[in-house]
Amino acid sequence: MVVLIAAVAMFDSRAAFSPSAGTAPGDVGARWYPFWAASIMGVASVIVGYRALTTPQGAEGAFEGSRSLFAVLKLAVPMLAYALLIGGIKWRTTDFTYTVIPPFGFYLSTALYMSLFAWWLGRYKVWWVGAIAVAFPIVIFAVFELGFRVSLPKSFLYETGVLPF
Amino acid sequence: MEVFGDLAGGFATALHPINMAMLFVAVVLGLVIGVLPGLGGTSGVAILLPITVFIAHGSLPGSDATTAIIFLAGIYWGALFGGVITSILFNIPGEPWAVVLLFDGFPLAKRLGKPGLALSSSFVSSFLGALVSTILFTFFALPIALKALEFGPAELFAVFLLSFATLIGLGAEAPMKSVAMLALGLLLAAVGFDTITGEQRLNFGQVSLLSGIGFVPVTIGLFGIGEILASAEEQGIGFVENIPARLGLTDVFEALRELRKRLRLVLSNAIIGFFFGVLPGHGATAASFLGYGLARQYSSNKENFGKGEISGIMGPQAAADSAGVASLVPMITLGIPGSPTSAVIMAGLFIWGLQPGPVLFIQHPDFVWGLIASIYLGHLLTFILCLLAVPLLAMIMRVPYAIITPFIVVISIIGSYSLNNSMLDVFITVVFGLIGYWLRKMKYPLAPLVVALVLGDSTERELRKALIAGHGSPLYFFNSALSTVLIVAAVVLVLIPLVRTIRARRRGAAQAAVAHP
Amino acid sequence: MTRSVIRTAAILVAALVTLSACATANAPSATPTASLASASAAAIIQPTHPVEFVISTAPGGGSDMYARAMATIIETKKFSPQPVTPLNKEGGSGAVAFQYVFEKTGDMHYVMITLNSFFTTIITQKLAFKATDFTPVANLALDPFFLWVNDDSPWKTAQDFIDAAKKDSLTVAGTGAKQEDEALFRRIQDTMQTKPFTYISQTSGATVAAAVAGHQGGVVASVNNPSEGLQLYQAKKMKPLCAFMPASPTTAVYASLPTCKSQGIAIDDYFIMRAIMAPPGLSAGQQAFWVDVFKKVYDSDEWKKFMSDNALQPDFKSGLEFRLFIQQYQQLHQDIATKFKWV
Repeated sequence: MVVLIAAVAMFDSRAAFSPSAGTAPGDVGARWYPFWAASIMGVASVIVGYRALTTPQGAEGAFEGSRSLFAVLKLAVPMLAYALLIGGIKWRTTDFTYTVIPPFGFYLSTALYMSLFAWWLGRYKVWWVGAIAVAFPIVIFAVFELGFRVSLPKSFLYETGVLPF
Repeated sequence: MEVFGDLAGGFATALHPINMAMLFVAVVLGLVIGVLPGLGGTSGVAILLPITVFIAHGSLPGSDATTAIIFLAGIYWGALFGGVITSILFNIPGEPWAVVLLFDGFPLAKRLGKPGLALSSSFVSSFLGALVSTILFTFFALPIALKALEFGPAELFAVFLLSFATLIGLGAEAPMKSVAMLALGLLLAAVGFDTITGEQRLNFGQVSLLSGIGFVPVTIGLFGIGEILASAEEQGIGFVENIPARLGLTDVFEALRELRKRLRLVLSNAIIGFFFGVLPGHGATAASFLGYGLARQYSSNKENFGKGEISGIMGPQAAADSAGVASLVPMITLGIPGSPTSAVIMAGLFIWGLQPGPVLFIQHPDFVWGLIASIYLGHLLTFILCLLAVPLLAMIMRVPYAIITPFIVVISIIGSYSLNNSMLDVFITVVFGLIGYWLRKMKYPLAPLVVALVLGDSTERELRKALIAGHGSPLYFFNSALSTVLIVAAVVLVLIPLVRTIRARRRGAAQAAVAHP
Repeated sequence: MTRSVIRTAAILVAALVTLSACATANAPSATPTASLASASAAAIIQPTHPVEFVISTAPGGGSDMYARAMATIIETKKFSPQPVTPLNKEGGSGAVAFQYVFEKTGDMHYVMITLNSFFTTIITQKLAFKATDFTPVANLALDPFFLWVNDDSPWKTAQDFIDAAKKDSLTVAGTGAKQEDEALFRRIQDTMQTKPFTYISQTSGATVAAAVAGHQGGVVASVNNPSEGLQLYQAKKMKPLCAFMPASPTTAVYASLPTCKSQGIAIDDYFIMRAIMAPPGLSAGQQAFWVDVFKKVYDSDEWKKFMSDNALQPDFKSGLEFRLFIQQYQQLHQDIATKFKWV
């Protein structure tokens, strides 16, 4: 229920944003279409929110206890970390680039990510974890980079010429 | 008829050993490309373009430009079939036209534990769809392509409207939630660059957002990642359970029985798919959505849709595959590609030194008819290969959780990245994974969002082109008989379920009043 | 389980701290050092890993086709020691690709095929850089414009078209908004004092041609390139009225086509360039490598055949000549953009 209200609020703020961009004059304009889409969405979500508030329903908790929240976070957090690790994080100011996380590239990150799961959730033996960490990136490298010439993100070590990926 | 003579000549060309060998290599490659995330028919064909130059210039014994086109087209056929595999098994669309299979394909595979049946159903309907389309291609290529030229913005808009109308009832349990999702989809589709005026919009000054929010990264997130998060919470993801480890063709026979029950639907969708494919633009993808909508409209058990209904696999798949074949028609006959993939194949023709167009039929009949014959053979080959692979593919569902879960995330990320080599798309996927999970929890239907996101851009463009052409008057849409008919059909399609729901509600309310006075 | 998490986290943090230090050193130098020195004088520097050949349009478009043809020639003839892989970065009429390559300052492992959107998009989208910031490599061909109408159109000559355009506002189609096609129509409008054209933007040259051939949405004319209109011309669905070129085209199919200048439309200096650009700040040696590679492409028989098949005008420019050409086109588009309030 609380999340539902939050949903409405979020939708509303989005909906309220677009018209501020202004509808262009003339018979057709770039803003016309997103404006109406946003308005319809705003109205619809207000109705959904209103219904949710007025019709009494059982407490439909977003998460059934902390256990299931943990189960989701267990997947979501490594996934986010994985995505950030691939590309790295940079802060760009006008004359300097600060590197918070250097890009690890796709292959190193995948090795880390796959082995984390095998080790943590799968509880495999160390050599299995190692094998997974090495085998998956190598297979992917062979198929994509060598076979189809699809370039996946490279690590900062690639730029300096230390590693081929 | 001279067509049969030409076609026989074409078969003689296509059955030449080198052509058959290359066709076989191509469909296998195409299947692999279709299965690999991020490598679609378009990029697959583009990547292999340089190789075809060697083929076309006779580097292989007996090979020529016909071998080269058979090779490139073969990749496309393989990808058309292969693209659905990841949709069904991992909830990750391998190709844009496989997005619609997320609605019923994955539920049938996972929730009902019948991956083999889901795959076989998709393959048999693909094959039949392609067959119908190829027959139409053989006999009516040029007249249909010329007719399609007259499809202006008003007619195209009407077609898109019709697609929306057939799908409007998706997730009918909460209409306002559907409307909100539909609008969100339209809004997301509008992000980036307005092609009519060349203005930036909703991109918050970010150049990287100018290319818009692609629907492939979004659907990979919403469905692939979203599903993983949702099933994590359900404890014990359903990948391991319920799936019998039988190896055999029983699923294929069951799929064929199911196909017989739905023959009319599949055939009519294939014909509609053909006409869609001939129109330039989103041919196969729009056709697949319309095919899904029609399958649902004419089904007696609508409530099964979204839960693993076989019509929800066969309907769109027949339309999509048919449209895929048909997208070659305007390319070969008029030099106007019907889909991005056929655009790349056309680039191939230029690079080999051939000019598509009506002259091609006269100057290089071997080439054209060899290609047409190879469409029949290529689909037969792909079909057999796919059916043989079904038991093996179904086994993938038995891979342990601790490997399959990160693996799906990994292929999701490859899929969204390699589409445009953009890290932004990876973040879009991850963020929409979280949003998808949350929308599932809030019981918002995802289908309207996806449909609006996929078709929103083209719908807006055609609408505004028509308005410019009509100097701002909406009456322009009723200038042509075709667009009038289509628009009226769309309106009727929207109204029927609405009237039915209202009636049912009234009746329900009346009954409730009687029951509890 | 928790212990393992902490351990993993600790390892990660340690790795990050040590690595971020060295990675910062890689930050690109902010000032692109223009290599004005004569490229041929410097020693050639070769790429050390695979090269991305960035294409600013979607697969299948004109630019894409030319880039893939070039990449195929480079690959089959082994002009480069490292593979040159085409990569589509479409979106925002090229803005996404330009930004991407601009950020690769000083890195020779990126080259990009450009057309006139390289000027128009950078001007109209107010991007943070100029066309002249990039390292110019070479121009390989000029793609002429023809004036096209439907085959059953009553207009027989370009003059008929202009007369009609002076009476009514004609509906015309072209690729993209505020791009080369619209630029040419606005120039016609400006020089011939016609009524303003109602311009409908399409997504590709092929759909523009289809719109003219099928009378879609009242479209009566376009300025398609010769290769885009050829098939529909042969199918007798559309016909060219004149060529915006200094002399009639040499391709057999179009040999009898008059120039627009001879028909009274005094424009013969506007083409689509098919040019190669590299990121800003390449050294003279790096630039020389690419000039050399693309000169070899230009001289190959395959490219010559490709140009004549597609009625392209052979035109190789590099070095100072190319630089001047870029400045001239930059100015021309800037003037149109200002005049028609595109900015």
